[in-house]
Amino acid sequence: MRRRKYLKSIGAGAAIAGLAGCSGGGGGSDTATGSDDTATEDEADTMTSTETEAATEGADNPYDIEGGVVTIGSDIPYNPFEYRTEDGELTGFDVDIAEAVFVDQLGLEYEFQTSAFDTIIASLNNGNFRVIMSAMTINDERDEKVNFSDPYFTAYQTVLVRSDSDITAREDLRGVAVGVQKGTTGETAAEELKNEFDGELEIQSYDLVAGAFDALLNGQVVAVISDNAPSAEFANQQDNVRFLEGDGEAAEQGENAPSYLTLTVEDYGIAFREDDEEFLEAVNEALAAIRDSGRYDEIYGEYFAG
Amino acid sequence: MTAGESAARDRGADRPLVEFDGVNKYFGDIHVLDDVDLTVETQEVSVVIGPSGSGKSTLLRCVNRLEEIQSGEVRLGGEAVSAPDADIDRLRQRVGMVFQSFNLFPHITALENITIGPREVLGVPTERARDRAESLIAEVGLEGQAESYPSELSGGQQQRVAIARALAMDPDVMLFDEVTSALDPELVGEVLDVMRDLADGGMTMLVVTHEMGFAREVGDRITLMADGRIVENTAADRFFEEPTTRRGQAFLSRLL
Amino acid sequence: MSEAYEATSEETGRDRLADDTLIRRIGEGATGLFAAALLGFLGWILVTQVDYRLLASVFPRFVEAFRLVLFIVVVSSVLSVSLGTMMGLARISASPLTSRVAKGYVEFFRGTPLLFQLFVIFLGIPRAWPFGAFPVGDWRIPAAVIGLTLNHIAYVAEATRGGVNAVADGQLEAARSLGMSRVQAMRKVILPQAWRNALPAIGNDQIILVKDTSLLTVIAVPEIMSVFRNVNSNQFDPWTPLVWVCLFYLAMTVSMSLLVSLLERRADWDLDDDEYSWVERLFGSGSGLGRNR
Repeated sequence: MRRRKYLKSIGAGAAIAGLAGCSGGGGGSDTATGSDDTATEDEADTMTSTETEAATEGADNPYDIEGGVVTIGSDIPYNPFEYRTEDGELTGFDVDIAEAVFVDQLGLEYEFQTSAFDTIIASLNNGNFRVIMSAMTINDERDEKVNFSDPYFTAYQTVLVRSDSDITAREDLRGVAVGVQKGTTGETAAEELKNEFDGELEIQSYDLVAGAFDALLNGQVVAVISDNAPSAEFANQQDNVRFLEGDGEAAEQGENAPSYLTLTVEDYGIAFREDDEEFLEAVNEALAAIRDSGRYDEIYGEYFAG
Repeated sequence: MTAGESAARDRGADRPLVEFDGVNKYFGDIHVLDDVDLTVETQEVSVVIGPSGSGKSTLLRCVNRLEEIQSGEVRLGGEAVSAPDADIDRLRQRVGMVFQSFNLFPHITALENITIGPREVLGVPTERARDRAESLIAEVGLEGQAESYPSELSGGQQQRVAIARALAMDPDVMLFDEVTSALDPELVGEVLDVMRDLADGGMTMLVVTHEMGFAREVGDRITLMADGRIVENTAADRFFEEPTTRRGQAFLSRLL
Repeated sequence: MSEAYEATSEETGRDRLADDTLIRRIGEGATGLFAAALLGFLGWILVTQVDYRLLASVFPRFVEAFRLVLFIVVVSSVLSVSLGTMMGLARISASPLTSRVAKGYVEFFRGTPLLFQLFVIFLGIPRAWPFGAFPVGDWRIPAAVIGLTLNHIAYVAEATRGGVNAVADGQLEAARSLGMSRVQAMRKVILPQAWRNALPAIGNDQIILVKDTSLLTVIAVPEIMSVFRNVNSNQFDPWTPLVWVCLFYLAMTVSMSLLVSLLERRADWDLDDDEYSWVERLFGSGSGLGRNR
């Protein structure tokens, strides 16, 4: 009889623990909030959400945002768009844009949530977060699954090599190994290149872009195909890598082409679920507003000088 | 010739084969062997009896150094078994041991159990080892069981194979550690018969047992142990007629 | 019922949960429901969620990945079992130095995640060379094999140790009393028995090794999960490629199970294999317990 009661009490305890777990909300998210309590005094001024805190019901919450906090799915880190400083503070271009759009313009709070990049769209559609801000390129395949805001950044796929390598032109990539990040347009660009080379290209796909960079330093790959911004960040930190030079897509399109080779010209957008049209429109308006007000250029200048 | 005779032939019967000289052994705080002096002469059948926990098995296991002692000396044919630099593997070749739980090697056949010692330890060629094993297995009455695995044999059969296995090494002395205690009563007899034949053939034997009938019939000397001490040590026939100590008398009276 | 108990028994009776037949029926009912739900779910997926055209078109990529995984599994398995048994022997060695070092090895490789070990080997080791001077061209697969092997050596070692400990003490005593040295006793008497004891645990560990290859995706090895992730992220369809993932892994783990089963039966000296048909030999476990006892 003693054993019976013991078993029953374990069962009850487990049930209670289970319920407690459920009501606590999804755990494991790597968050940085727009109203972080641990913010230092210096930063308190920039986090002005308290002035315009949104109520959670009725006409004050037209987009049905839970708790007034917009959850943002993102592949962190991805310098310089979303990454952590040594103190663990989340910062970056996407973070500052989020601040400008969601807090300043829309009077909401925001919270970044880490996701693997190659499953981030599935996660969005499963409802794990409200939007995606992850230096995400707008393209047709993705457009079938999500809706994108107006573009808020222009990027290029670039090729990064070691300084001492003898690769100087795009053709030299034939027959070598290149590193990319899983699920990115860089991976797609590499696959197109492979087709162009009749299969003479080995593609190594890493979970994080940092993995591809490591592989470059370790001599596992000869080049990394990735967006220009993180590659530039990396090239600045390291003395021994350089961009592949040449005229590419950007030059062809007559854009203000950079000196390095561009395999593609891409626009980043904020991704929404396909039934989230009202919120998308509001965000588009906010984006337009921050361009007009000059706030966009301020933020741009902080991260991309010249 | 039988195993016992060949052993006796090789050794001059002028000094005791097994000697315990002031032996003390402790298991932690327990004094398992208390100042034990004992000798076993060549060709002698020496039986050790006594209540459980008296140290009989421990005494036996000191002869081939399955147990270590803390003081005193154990000697085999004059050589110190208990010395730190003793070549224990070589000394063990001269001592055959049969266990209460048989300890046959289950993954090989009965015949292979008997040949494995000579082949691996003595380097005897396989053919010769097989021939010897076959004659030994016949000696213990199990010719038809040579290719059986231990799990297919009864307890009594297994124990007889175990005896043959020990004999295959041509030991000078055979140790028997309560070898019938784990057997069903009807199987005890066949094992005791083998042991009797061995004794008749002149093998030196040190036997720990509860089988008083065997002790009386086959034993030359009886050693009674209690609480780690040797209480009585007399010729067998005298012991069973008229034990010299009160302890011995008490023990005997409880049996009869 | 005797008079001594009659009075009270009438009221309480035997506990209903003690009724064998009732419990069995409940068990069968629950199992049936569970099986039905599982099959229903499976059926729903196969009928409504799977794109059969895509299924066919991605098949070659999965086959290629499968062949790579098979290669990695075979090499790692052979190495980890052979080196692992040696490590297990080191673990029980009479030399305190050997046994302590082996214990430390086992504690470390069992106590840290395989993922961590893979990262250290894949990312860390090349750093010991000056920039760009690391001699190995494609380090992913060697790193994978090394990582899996080192990790599973620890588990095989423990299984071996368990197998040796399970051999009765009397066996060693009997062997040594024949005059065998410790090495001879181990080789001829203890280890053959220990192997039979350890085989189920070793087999279990090797099946886990097959599944551990899924972790290799994080060091960019183009194995099965990597193909799945690629198809999923480009075609936005998880269920279709998951069918192949499931089938290919099962193909390996079930084969491994059968192999272990076969080895167990062969190592079991109590079993008379001639009594059984080849089907029973392959799929049976050799122990008779539980059949209508």
